[in-house]
Amino acid sequence: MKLNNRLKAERERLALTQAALAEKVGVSRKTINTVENAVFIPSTVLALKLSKALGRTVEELFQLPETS
Amino acid sequence: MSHQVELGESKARKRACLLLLLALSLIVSAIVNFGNTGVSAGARNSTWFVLVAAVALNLTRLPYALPGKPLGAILNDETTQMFRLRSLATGFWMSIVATLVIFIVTAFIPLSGMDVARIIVTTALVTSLVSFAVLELRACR
Repeated sequence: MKLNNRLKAERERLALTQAALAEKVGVSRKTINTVENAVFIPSTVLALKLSKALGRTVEELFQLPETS
Repeated sequence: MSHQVELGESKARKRACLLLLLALSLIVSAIVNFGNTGVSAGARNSTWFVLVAAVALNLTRLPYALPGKPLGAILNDETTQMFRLRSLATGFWMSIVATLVIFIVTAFIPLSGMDVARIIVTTALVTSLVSFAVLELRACR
């Protein structure tokens, strides 16, 4: 299963480092890194925390890939 | 870098190194105890049981659970939980493989029940420890 995300773009929009975002959300930097690289699909709780920290809705941050 | 995240990363790296050391100590223990060391079997087995319990405990979240503290949450976040589950699954499948290999080997070379148990438990724990440590160290890069 794959999940597209705009986490890196939104984080950079706010000039946040991965560590700063990790601190805001209360996770490790590797979690932010693996989510950004689509290696790890976050839980609903983490997705909601990320959307709150970045001021975007969950749908704006995460999208299902287009199916042809 | 923010303090808690930096501290969490440092502790996660140390934990991964500790897991590798524990894996090495289990292998050494299995090799040393496989033959006759001259020490009574009861003492040898007790030492091995303590080592296995200590190692197994390190594959749970308990030693790093710090209730109510941000560092505890960082050390047991979702990625760590995923890595832990993956490594435990690896250990489980490797123990099945070890059991099948022993099943074949014992047709030719008789092994004691204690040695068989030691081989299976060591295989399961060592593969889990190494897998968890490698996943953590790779993600921390």
